[in-house]
Amino acid sequence: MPDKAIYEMISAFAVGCMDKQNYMQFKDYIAEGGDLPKSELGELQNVISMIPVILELENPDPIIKDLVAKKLIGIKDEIKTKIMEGKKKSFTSSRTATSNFGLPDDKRSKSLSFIEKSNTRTPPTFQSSNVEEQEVSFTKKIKTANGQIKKPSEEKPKTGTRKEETKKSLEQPPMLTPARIPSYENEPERNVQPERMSAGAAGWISLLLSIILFSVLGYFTYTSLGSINTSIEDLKRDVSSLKNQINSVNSFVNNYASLVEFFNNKDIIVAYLNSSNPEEKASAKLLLSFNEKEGLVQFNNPRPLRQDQGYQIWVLSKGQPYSLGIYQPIGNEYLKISSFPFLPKERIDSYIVTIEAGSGASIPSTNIYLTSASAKPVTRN
Amino acid sequence: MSTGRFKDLTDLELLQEISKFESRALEELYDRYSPVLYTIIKKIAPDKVTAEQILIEVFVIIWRKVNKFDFLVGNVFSWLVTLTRNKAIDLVRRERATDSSVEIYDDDYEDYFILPTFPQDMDALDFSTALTIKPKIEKALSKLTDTQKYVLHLAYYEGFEIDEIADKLNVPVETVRGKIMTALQSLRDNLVGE
Repeated sequence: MPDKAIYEMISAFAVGCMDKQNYMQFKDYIAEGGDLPKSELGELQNVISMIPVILELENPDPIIKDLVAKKLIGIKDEIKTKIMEGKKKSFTSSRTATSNFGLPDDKRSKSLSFIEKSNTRTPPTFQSSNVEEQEVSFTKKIKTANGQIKKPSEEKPKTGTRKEETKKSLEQPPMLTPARIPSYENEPERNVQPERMSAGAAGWISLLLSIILFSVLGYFTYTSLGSINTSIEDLKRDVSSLKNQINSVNSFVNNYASLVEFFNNKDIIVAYLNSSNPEEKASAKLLLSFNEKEGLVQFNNPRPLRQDQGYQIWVLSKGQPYSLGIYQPIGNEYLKISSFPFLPKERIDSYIVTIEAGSGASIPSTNIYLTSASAKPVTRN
Repeated sequence: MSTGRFKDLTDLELLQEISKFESRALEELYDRYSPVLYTIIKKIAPDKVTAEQILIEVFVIIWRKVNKFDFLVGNVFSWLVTLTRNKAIDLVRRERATDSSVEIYDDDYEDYFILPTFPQDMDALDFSTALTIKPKIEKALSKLTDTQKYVLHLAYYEGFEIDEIADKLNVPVETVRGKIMTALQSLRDNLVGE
């Protein structure tokens, strides 16, 4: 193949504008380790991937992140179903399907050159004569393999030849009744000794056959057991991997279940609390529903506290502090607001977080850790 | 939402964590990559709602198919960009198709036509490097001819196949093949020359 054609294929593959047939051919060629100019494809794929970098980046709606989380929770059931299916499926079929990507062998090719789409689009015309021709040639092939037998109409009868005899014997119907057992009474005496000898030999032969039979059976049992054991090991590995997936999804669900449930409320207010110290990386997110008197808080990078200390959240309304409870976050999990004051949301001025000792303070200490100027309402459909 | 220790991980380390089904690693990957992936999808998808839907699906694919990522090649940036582009283009092509020859979208189809195929000798590229050389990419692209830019746009963002581009431009298929090859090679040469 000329070099130019290879470079053209590589470029078309990198950009992603090949038609399906050429794409499959090229992809299989790569998968089978086909020769390509060194690092050409990788370089072009990197170049083409960099094109979108020049676009003005746009952030997706923050709600999309929650939708991704919800979608992943939904996958939990899918994984469970996969485990059930995995137990039922036979290994052979599943492996074959995976290794072939579900594509028939005739779609895979080792050769590499552009396939003209115009040719592939036009379906081949199967005229009746062609079909017959194909059928005839197929029949001929089979019959040739079975002993030079041809269609009776095509074959002229030949007499006295060896082929004719063979043909006849092959065409002779099989005997349905056993041949008559010859009588030994009229046979000469000399025939008795060989008969005895043949009985002994038959015993040996049957013993030998039994040994061979048992050996063969033993071999097949051994290989089958080996294959079954491998399959069981594979199955165990798959089940263990899927169990891990379920555990992980469960922990994910546990982490986000309260968040997803909370987002069913329609009047959610979000407040972001940050430190006035620019070197302090800690922050907190407060999600409040005043109608339902429910709320969640998430601390990010909070400073580690002593065991007898906690972060107490306060609502400030007309200079008066109201406690939303004291919390000791472990990671960045969502914590339920334990105490919710009876205040209309319009009267909230700001939120603060203070570090307090023990079970909390009745008024905030001067040690204000995080603060929020105002709360932003979240619009939900 | 913060993802703590995952913030400091490289793209490749993040994918390794995701392969262990660590959801906070996926969250960090989302924070890091969602703007660029969403921008690509918006450029391709017909409307905002579809773009958002595709973005969700892309992250679901990453979560489910991260084990198909070649950790030896380790090219996270190109893998994510190509995967996203393929997913968005697939949807556009399906909407454009008028006949009933559209293949069923299932796991096998996704593995074969949506997940990227990279050669073993590919250099790894990460997001921060790609962002660093953004001015160079802009300059390299500006040096292409208008036809080269247009052909690349039709192929990459519009998802047209070679023969469709040939029909559109009323030129032979061979010409389009040549144009795409020249455009890409020029782009690479320009980038190297910058």
